[in-house]
Amino acid sequence: MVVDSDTLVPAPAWRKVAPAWDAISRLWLVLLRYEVLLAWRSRLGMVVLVVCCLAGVLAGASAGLGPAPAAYRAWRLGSLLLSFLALPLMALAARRDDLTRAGDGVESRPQPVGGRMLVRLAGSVLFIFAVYAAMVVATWLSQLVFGGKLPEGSGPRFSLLAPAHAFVYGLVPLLFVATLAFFVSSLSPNPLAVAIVGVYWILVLVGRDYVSRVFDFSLTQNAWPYFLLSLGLALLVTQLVRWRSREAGLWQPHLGLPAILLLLAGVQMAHGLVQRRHDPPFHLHPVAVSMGGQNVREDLMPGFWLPDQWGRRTGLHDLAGGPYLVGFWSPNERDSLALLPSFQRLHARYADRGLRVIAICLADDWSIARRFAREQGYSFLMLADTNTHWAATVEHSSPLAEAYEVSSLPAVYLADRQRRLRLKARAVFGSSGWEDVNRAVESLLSEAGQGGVADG
Amino acid sequence: MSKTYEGGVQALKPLTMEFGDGVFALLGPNGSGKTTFMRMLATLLEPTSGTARVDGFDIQRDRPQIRRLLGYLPQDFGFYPGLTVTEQLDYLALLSDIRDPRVRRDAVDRVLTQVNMQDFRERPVDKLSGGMKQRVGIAAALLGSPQLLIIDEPTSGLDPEERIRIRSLLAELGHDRVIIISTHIVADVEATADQLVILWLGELLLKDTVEGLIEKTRGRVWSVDVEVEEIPRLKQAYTFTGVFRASRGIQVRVIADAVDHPRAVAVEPTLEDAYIGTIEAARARAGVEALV
Repeated sequence: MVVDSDTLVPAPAWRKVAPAWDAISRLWLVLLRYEVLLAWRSRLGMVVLVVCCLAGVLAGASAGLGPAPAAYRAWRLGSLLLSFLALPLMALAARRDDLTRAGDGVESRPQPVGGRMLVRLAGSVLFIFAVYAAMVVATWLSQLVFGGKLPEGSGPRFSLLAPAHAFVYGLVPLLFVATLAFFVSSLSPNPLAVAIVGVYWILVLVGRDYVSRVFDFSLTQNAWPYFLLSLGLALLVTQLVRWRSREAGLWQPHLGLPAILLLLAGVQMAHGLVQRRHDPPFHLHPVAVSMGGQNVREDLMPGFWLPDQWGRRTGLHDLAGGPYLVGFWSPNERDSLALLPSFQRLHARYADRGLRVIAICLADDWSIARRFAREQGYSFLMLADTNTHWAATVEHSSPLAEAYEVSSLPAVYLADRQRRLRLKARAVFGSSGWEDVNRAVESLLSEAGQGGVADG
Repeated sequence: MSKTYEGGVQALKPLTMEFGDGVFALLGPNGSGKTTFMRMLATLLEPTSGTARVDGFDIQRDRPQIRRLLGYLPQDFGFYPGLTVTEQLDYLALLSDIRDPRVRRDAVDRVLTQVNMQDFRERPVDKLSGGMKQRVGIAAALLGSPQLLIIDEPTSGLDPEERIRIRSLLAELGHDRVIIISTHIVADVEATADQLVILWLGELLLKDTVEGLIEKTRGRVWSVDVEVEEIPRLKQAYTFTGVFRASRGIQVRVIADAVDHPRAVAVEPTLEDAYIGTIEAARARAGVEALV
């Protein structure tokens, strides 16, 4: 108990907190600043920064990209690049005392090694976050400077929301990879860390369904489990270095128990997300099987039942009226992004005449469609085909794509009120392609209008 | 205390010693257990048996308390590239738990002045010469005004001028604290040490004052003017402590109770004679062939 020496009465509660705050503000925060500074001034840190910023500039420089696709590119590229570049950075930080031979001189000081290593981990992660932020900003600025004129209806040109989203979504995967690399580098020299993260990327890139979905933490739904796993690993690192420096025994319950609980909770949450909430392997789902079983042989538009940008499962039967304009796009297919502003334009022009505009995103993360809708202000229906998986051809990447016989992106389909297909423009490029779509919509709507009068 | 490494190498045989204020020099050839002894005292290595106490604190149980009293500079040390001298010392001062920024700044200023490095405070640590690096290392060990200063080979790799400066600093600092240095440079000991400890193959051979050790050798050191061809014969018979080129032929210094040579003259022993004599006597006892 803290007692005021003059009056010998218990000191107020804030006095008990003061030493902790003193340690944080005067010691740990200053050490954290040094850790960031050390990463920033290292040659490797500078190389990583330059490489990422250059990659960001190149990613954002494509003409007519717009802020949302540019931010998406920064996010994917940043996760990919920095996942690898974080390995040597974290290995250098974890092994800095050995590499610089500063070990004994540092360890013989009173400050406990556990806290020191946690601060080192935090400082290095902060540096990686800063590099990632710089990369997102570079992409955004490059898109503004070199992106040229945006197509009509593609939303605001100066969106801050898109880069902010890209930055926030990228943090968790980077945190996880960096913590994992730091943990493994603390256990053993670098090649093991490289091997582990290499296996991770193989699983994500070529893995199918369950395995890739468990490990693909670029999916935003997976953020929480990986956040918990990162914290668990950080505590395990602390326990390990304390044991190595003989500050404590191998089993330290105050670190070990929370670490194990966090790791178990992370694994359980990831498992639960995959099994129940997060995009179950859809090709096994009865609805998906029936979707895949459809085809266009009778020129009837195949049905679907997918989440929209507000998270509601929406099927063709929920959309009264018609006609229907359905388009397939993917954030990974640059040319298909042109579909979105065109759809927004058609939606703005013909929605009040009954045209139902539906864009279906072929990506494994439903939140991508939601993000694009929010960042670009799209008001037409944006569905995400959560059943998309890696495949050699677009057609085989999901049962729905197979049912629609989508061979390349963007693909556009127009059907009348009776769902009879009137246009199958499987690849729409350039303004002339869109003029054809426009004419087909106009003609169908005029037909429907005449039909309506005749019916009436 | 004693230390046996994994694999059965006995780096330090059981020894008992006591140190008070002043400079103590650990002297011994490579592999004699000096660094092992210092690392154990600096709480970086656990003894296999026994223990040591620093100001009443046990090196195994009270590690944090001892580290507050301790300044340690290993023989082979490095700094974090990317930091300047001031930043590196500030960082290490934080690890020494000096939290007040003003106190830290003053501490860094003080140690930089002590090692005469004020003019290089903004220089990056990876741009320092060997001597400067050694001085900054000593400055780092002095942060927090340690009561026990352990420096492994303080003058190795220094030029003569730097060496003299470091020796004077150590002698000056030894007034009110315990300083333990290890060295194989006898001149370091003569210049700085109040007492010396000779270790050989992990064994404590001697703990005495410099004068005490010299006194023990008095009357057993001889200078002999010889021809070159005589040297092999003499080398077999006696322990050499030095061979010098003289105006006529060669002069050798030998250590022996008596020397059977017409030009042998008894001379005043130096610390170097006494040290080599002690080591060679131990070698002879152990039946190990002398290498001199």
